[in-house]
Amino acid sequence: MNWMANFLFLQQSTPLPVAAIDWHASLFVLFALVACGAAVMVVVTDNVVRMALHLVLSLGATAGLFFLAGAEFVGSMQLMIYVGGTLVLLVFGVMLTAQTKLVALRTPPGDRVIAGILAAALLAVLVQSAVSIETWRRPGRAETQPPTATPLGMALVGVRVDSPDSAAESQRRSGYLLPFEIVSVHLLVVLVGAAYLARAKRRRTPRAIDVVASADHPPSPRPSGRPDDREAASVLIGSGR
Amino acid sequence: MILVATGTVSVTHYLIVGAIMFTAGVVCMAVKRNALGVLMGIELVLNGANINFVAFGSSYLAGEGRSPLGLDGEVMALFVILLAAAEAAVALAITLNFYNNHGTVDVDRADDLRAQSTKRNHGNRHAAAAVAGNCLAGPPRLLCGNSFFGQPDGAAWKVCG
Repeated sequence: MNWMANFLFLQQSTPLPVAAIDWHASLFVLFALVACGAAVMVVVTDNVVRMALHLVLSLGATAGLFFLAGAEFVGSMQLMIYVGGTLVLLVFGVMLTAQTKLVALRTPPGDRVIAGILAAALLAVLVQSAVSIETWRRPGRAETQPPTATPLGMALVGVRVDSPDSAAESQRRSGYLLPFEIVSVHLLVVLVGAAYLARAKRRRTPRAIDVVASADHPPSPRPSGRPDDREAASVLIGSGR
Repeated sequence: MILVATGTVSVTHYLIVGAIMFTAGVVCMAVKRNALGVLMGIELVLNGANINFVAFGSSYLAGEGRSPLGLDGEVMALFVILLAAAEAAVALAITLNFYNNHGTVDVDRADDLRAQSTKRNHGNRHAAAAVAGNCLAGPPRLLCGNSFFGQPDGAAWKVCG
């Protein structure tokens, strides 16, 4: 009990400055640094696997920024759809195309220099325009509302309940039923199109009889960088046509 | 820096983060040779725009009065997320098709539609047209070889001829 009393006494005599920390600002700095640093690392690195990892970090930190801005539903959707869906898709793409010579395709250094100059110019313009407006620099009221997705869901079906206004003003603000329908039809079209593009078309591996025949007539080596079996198959089928 | 000066987070901080992500995405799209790297650049650009939407729509960050966008910001951010997912699905399908047909994901190799050099077309144009038609007719790219249009030495001509 003695050590516990000492511990509590220490706690009371020199309280940790937990209450003094502005958690919102410090968490914002953390997430912003992770998001920006990972985004820059995506550009800098040449290895596509590491690019995917840094992209996961960057988008996850962006979801944290959304939470800090009070957009909980958008943040969770960012985590679920982006980090959980889109990036898994991209990682699948990376794995399906991960040959040794394709993992790290290098950019010429001259292109990097030009891109760096242009990026600095673009960033200067954007930051200048972001800082220049005085209204945007005012600190927020930081008024917290109970996290709810009701206004968002009601707005998606066409009813605005987000702020108590006069009836005339809420008549003027429309909901999002039509964009919602357009997006859903668009997603359907995209699904059909992606299934069409990714359908199994033909067999790519050479048949056994082709392999035997190609052993009789070995194809002349060509200086292109394609896999050997498919090259042999293409040469064989091409010369037979 | 600005955060230290003002003490709390404002819309400008979000805009700066969005600007950095946007710029990184633009450079990524322009510089990367891997097609998947280009896709990742597109994702970064969309996220930079999304940060701006959420910041302008946030009532937490708004100063006096209502936030400039209100609920529109969050709804737009949701739509952007959904459309980015759709775009990634289609772009990935295209990239995998390109990989299946060409054996690479280097976007610099995707130059099949570039004009052929006049030197190669000069000799026997009819034969060239016949060979090209022959190659483009069937289940094409796989049988013709990826370097059909791109190789200067003309080794691929014998393949399809």
